Amino acid sequence: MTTRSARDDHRLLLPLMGLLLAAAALMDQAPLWVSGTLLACLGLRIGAIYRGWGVVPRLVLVGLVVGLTVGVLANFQTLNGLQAGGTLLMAMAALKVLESRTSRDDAVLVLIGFFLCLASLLVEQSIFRLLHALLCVWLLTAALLASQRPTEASASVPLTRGSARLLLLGAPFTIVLFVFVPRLEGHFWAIPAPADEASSGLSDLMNPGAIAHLVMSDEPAFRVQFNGALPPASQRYWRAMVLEDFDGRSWRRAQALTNGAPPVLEANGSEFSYTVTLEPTQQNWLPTLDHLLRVEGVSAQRLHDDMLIVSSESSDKQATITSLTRYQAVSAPAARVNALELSDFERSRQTRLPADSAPKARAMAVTLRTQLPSDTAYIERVLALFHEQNFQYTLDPPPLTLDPVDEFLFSTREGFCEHYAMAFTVLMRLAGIPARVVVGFQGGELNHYAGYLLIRQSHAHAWSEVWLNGQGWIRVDPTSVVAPERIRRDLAGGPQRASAQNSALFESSWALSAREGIDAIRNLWKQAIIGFSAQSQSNLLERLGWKGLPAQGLVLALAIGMMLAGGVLYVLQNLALKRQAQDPVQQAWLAMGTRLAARGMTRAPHEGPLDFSRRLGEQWPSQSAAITDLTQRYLKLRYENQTDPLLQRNFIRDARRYRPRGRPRA
Amino acid sequence: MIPIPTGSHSLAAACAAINQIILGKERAVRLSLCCLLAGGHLLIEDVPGVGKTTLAQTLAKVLGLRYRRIQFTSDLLPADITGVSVYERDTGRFSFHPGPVFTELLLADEINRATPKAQSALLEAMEEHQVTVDGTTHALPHPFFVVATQNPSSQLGTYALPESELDRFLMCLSLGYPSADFERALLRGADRRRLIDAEPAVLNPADILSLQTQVRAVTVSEALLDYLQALVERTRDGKHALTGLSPRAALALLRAAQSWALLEGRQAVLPEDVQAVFVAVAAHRLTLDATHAQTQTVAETILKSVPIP
Repeated sequence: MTTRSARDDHRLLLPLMGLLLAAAALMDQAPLWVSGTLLACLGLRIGAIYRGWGVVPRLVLVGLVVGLTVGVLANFQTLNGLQAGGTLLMAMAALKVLESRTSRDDAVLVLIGFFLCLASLLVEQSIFRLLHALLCVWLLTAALLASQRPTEASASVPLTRGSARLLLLGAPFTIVLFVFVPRLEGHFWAIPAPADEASSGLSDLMNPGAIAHLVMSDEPAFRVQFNGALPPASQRYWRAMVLEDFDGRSWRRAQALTNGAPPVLEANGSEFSYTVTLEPTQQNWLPTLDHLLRVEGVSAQRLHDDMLIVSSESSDKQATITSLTRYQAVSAPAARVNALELSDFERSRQTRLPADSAPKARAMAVTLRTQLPSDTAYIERVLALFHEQNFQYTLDPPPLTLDPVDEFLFSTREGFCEHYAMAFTVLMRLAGIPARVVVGFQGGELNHYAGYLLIRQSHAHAWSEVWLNGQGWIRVDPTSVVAPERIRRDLAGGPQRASAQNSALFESSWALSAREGIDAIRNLWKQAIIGFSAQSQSNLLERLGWKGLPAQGLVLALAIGMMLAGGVLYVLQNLALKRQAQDPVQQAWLAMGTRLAARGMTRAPHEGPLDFSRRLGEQWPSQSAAITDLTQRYLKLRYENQTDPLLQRNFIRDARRYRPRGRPRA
Repeated sequence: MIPIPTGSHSLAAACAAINQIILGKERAVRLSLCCLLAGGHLLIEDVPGVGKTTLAQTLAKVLGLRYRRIQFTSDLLPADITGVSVYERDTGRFSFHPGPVFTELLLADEINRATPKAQSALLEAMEEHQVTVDGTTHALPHPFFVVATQNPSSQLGTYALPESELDRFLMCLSLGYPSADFERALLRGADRRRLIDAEPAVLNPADILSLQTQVRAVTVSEALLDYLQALVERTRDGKHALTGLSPRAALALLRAAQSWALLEGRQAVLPEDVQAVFVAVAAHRLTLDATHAQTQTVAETILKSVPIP
């Protein structure tokens, strides 16, 4: 047995650190007790390294394996899937830490670390995750190097630098593989998505309170890049779904959907053309501005006047959006629509209500309508009611239990956009005016760097549409009457924040611009890397001159690309070797020579340092003293076998700092 | 007790003394001194009358060495160099009568006028520092230097030295004609022979031996060996010469460079030192093809083509 030095002990920490860093990304997914187990095991191992704590008996380990597996199974009811699988991996990694003794064990730990990185990237593919994963891989590779090197040699070679070099050398291959490996649409690894992801974002069922939780979320919903001018802020209503069926509590999408036609525009308002990049929603709506004329770049269907749903090409089954989706659309939000008469069937559907719901509201609506001359006057009266009767806008309304419409209108009077949309639409239908709820997003933050609008989940909104003869469907936003600031805030283009505590911070302009900058980077990342689809791949290949190549062409391109990457690698390697061959003293000396040469004082390759400094002394007296001094010190270090590190450091510092002044005599 | 002269002080004095007699040839003088301090033998190649013999005599005198001279001719026999065993009637035995080689500095004048047989008699003496006559080996004194002069081989009645013998000379110098100023000074000045006789010895054999030890102690760094090896490698690449420098030549180059560094008053060899001695050490060892290029020119080309690492 050889005694290990403290330095070797530190080396044993490397895989543990890498593992911990890699696991950190999964800890928010895993239950607390698994993270705790991992930390405890790491602690025990560190104790074993430095304090010589004993080995955990094999029987205990076996017991832990069974116990942890059962625990994970109990927590998730499965071992399959990203969350359960990732958690199990973490738990087993913890046990491997306990077990590890030899350098081979360290290598296994490192491989587990790599796997944890991969799992964290499956959860989320943001640029920050990638940076974190790169950091992990760098550390883990250093640990791998440490585990593969004999103890004595490792002292002189910096592991972290070796690891960074390896990663750098691998980069060209990574790029080639990324560009040329045939892309498969969707998640080809087919990991079941976490259950809560489906519920994020708008759903096609609107309960009171359904949108409130969205407003708390800062997650981006989609980004819009306009080709040309932006529409006025008052027109930035991004419709996602039209909800028509009301059962007394919640609004939902109509069951029997009919294909719609593009609106026939009467007075053509200005058209806006824009590109939407939609985050995965696990749903099938596509947000667009009002009065959509056409949409491109996505397989979509127009349903019910103005609502879009992606449909898979193979079947009639409606598809869902599982990956970043991009499409171009043209809308004319301010245009007047040449509206035909609503069919009797449609009219009856858009005025349908459960017969026994909201008796108080029904009475009020009928009374009001009879007092007023027209539908328009009735609409204005109802909006005025909201304004006059002290309705409050709040994100935290009291729960509605029995009859939400009556309770909201006559007792609580506190609510959020969906409450107002619901109540308003019900009041319209009670008066016989065809009305429906539209959910979507309102507003958007303009990114001043990249010029796109960022729409967050917190921009989620609900409003109403009423049918007026001769005018068609007209948008009415009752929330704007009650809480104009909610709308105005977005009109001003400022950030939409649900929590007021942070508002002070986000009001300051530098924080705002930093936020915008970060989002611009994130957007670029999404567009270029995450959004690199089969389509973008074939576009890129076409631009490279391979048009319409089948899979064989892709393989050929891959081979050529790998060869090119290999060439790049070879050149890099040679450069690295060349640099390595020179000691830092010589590098500093040569760099100094380069600076002198730039001023016209070139040292011939065969010219000795002393000869050179003498020649310089004749041709360039002003620099003579400095160069003579540096040359003498260089000669000492290079030819007199001086190894004093202080001398060396000082020379390197001074030679690097030296800047020639003036020019030598011709 | 005689203090041992250290470093450059006494060497500078020796140089100055020689330069008073050999006018305008500082570099050649320095190289010859360098050669002797490195423990090597010196070959001076030039046309007659430029001062080859005078240089050898001055060296002997200034360095305080015992000095013998052999004039090589085509009928010179090996025994004329090494000495002979003579039968003594009184004792009835053979006794060895040492030849002129038993000295501290041997001037082999016009060495290429003798036949190869006589020339090779010098080989053992130069390499082994010993002479074998009639089966008995006799050691030569320390230090032992051979300074040989030769006329350019294009002259009539000369036998070119074989390569093996050339390799045993550490350096090959040529003096060349003096410049007009120095020639005028020479013409006006006193008789050289009388000057040499009047010159006091600056060093003595013990000093020389001590200096030779110092030469071997001069620091040689890895970086310098890199350069030296690159130079030697370049002579062997077949582009400049038919045959390049041998490992013995590389060693000679290193010793000469160390010696030059000591003469410059330094304790470490610089690339400049290697460059200073390279042509003198390398030129006579390079074999060229039928072209009429001078070996010195080729050696200089090689020197310029190798960057200092």
